[in-house]
Amino acid sequence: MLDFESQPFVEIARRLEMRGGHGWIAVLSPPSSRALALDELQTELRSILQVPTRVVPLDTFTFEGLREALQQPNDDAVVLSAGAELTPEKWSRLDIMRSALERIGPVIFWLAPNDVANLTGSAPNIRSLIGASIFIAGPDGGIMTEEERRERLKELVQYFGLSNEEIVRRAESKELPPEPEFVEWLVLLGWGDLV
Amino acid sequence: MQSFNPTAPARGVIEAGLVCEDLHRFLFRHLAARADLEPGSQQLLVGGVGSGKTTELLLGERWLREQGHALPLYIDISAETDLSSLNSGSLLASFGVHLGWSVLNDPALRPLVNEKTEKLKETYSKVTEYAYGKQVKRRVDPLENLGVVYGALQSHFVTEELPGKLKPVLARDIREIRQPLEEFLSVAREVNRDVVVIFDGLDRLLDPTKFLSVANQDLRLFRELKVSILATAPLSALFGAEVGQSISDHFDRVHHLSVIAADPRNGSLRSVLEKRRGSELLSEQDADSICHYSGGVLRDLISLARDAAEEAYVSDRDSITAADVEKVVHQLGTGYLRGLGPEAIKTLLNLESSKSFQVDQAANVELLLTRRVLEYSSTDFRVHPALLSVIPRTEPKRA
Amino acid sequence: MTLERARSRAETLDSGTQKEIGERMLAPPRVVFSEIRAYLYRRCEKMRTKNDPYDLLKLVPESNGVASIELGPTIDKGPTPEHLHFESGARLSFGLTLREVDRGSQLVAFRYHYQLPAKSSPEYLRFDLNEGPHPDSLVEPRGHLHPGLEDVRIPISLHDPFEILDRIFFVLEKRT
Repeated sequence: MLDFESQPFVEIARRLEMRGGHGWIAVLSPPSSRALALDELQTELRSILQVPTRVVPLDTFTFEGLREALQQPNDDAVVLSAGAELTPEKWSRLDIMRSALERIGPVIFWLAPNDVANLTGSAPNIRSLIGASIFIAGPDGGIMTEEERRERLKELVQYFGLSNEEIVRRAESKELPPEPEFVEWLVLLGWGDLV
Repeated sequence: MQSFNPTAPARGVIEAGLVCEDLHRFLFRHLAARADLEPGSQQLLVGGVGSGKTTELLLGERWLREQGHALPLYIDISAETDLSSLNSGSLLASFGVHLGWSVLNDPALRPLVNEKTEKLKETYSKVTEYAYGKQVKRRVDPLENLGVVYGALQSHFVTEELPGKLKPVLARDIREIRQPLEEFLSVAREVNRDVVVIFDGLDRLLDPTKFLSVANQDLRLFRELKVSILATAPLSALFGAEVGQSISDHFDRVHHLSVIAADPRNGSLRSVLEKRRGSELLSEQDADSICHYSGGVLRDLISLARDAAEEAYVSDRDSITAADVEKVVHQLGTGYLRGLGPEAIKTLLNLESSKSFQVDQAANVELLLTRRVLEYSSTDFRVHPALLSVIPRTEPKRA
Repeated sequence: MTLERARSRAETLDSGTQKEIGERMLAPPRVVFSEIRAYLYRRCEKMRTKNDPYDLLKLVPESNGVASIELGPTIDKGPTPEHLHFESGARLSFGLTLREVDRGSQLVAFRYHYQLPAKSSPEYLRFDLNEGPHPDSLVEPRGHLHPGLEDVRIPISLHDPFEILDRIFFVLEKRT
């Protein structure tokens, strides 16, 4: 099945930054660890956009409550979190109040993977503002890969003339020098508890 | 790239000079002129999502101000109250608040207002109470509570909230608001200013039944007050069921803001891009491609241009390429495709091949409302090109 | 002024550094990573040399509560594509290790190696924070600066990650 583009959170935040810190985007959450992913999204939004970021759940919204939440303040970043409990009827009600949601700061819809159907089918006014900006939450390329980790370990072994096992042995017997390179070496080996 | 912001408030876009005022052949002037010349007239502006209705209405508001004969009031009713539980009197309530505020603050009306300041302020209070409700203290007699063990033997007061029209629940008598409105209208008319109210946002009521049940009573009073109305309505007011037809019957004139075809000879869509200095971002070919794949939906046009530029930027390129355009068109189309069942897909493919589309069927009206199908006229319907580019086409089964 | 007194003062300085580390709470490692990346994005946008912090900056996720943030090689042996390259011809590589504590993190160690352009004197500056005290705090204070010499370590006060980057981007780079 055709799918949307996958984007790491940092790129999603960068896109909003390119738009002058305005705009509407929809992000499809991963099927698991949704709460952790939402945390990471907020972190990137705060870091890149340099504005406070709030999550506003949509499960039990009222017109007055949601309008106030989005307008006071109206210039931070707001993540509207929708889950499976958001029925087509609720999407419709949300769509009807689209004008009340418009604000200076960016609006990010945090959707379950199969929510796009509801968005397009029951909230065409909101979907129109989102346009083509629907992205799947992608992995953060900043995490060091296994290959990168091996390369670094190889570099350290060659430079210091010590094996990984020797480093661990010395750390266990408290003989390892305190320089930062050795600390990083242990972390690369997964021996953070020896630090 | 900032000029390609599809979420920018329309008023700001107009003020920035980024709007092609002749895009719909200066429809806004016709709307505004009729509203001005025929006090009490009621006109509908019907168009799909992203077709430019708000822009056209705001241009009309500006035109009326420039002409100086009318007092135009633009109200996005969907931002002021929960339309999904709209009740009769809501439109009047909102109008009253805006009218009162305008009259009390209009420099041209200041001499008249000064003569009756206290009275008008009192009138404004009544209007805001009608709109937003009020708190009243109600005396509770202990005899009311017979049968309940009570410590207190004396009467006491409780504070109750009486809801207003814009905080819905109760339906209240529309006649309550008539007199306050007449007072404000008479001030405006003393300087020969008829009032034109522009109601935006009613098109969000995709179900026309609701629109009709609520607007009916309010609209009658507007006519009696000789206040002209320009209002938006959803496409279901033009196409589809009988109720839609009823809506149109209530209005003096119904204008359809149809989708603009991406015709190279016409050049209208290209002019929209040019007005925002699109040639600085897009090659001729990419501009044509974006015009085509937007289907003529103005908001899609703007957002495709912006998104293509964004793709180039995140890929660290100085200019947009055809691949960027293709990517964002794919994204847009995929969004439209989601949620479509096999029957809907069949309808769309049939429309593409045979140009046949039963616009009176509810399922097909839904395709119009969700912009999977675009209306170029009352008889010319086409599948949104971005959707067409991603729609699955099953192979015919071999015998 | 005896050597013993000098060593004693050096040890007091190290104790102060240790105390400061304990008192200074940073955000969780992933948040610090995100913030450093955003910082580098902002700075790199203003530079004529092309650096992509998204590609360069790496997080080694928590291993028993300890994570590392790294950019460029651990040991500088010459320019590589993994360095952050400045318009002046200088280059930067760094590593920062954090320990998760409560809902934040604390510094464990860092190294910021700023290699000045060719033919500069000194050739490099490296800001180091060791993981713990050295047996001879006078020779190797816990927080120190190498002014282009491996055997010379000038004590520095404790800095948070951004303070050192600020000095590199806004002070050292501006003068070269």
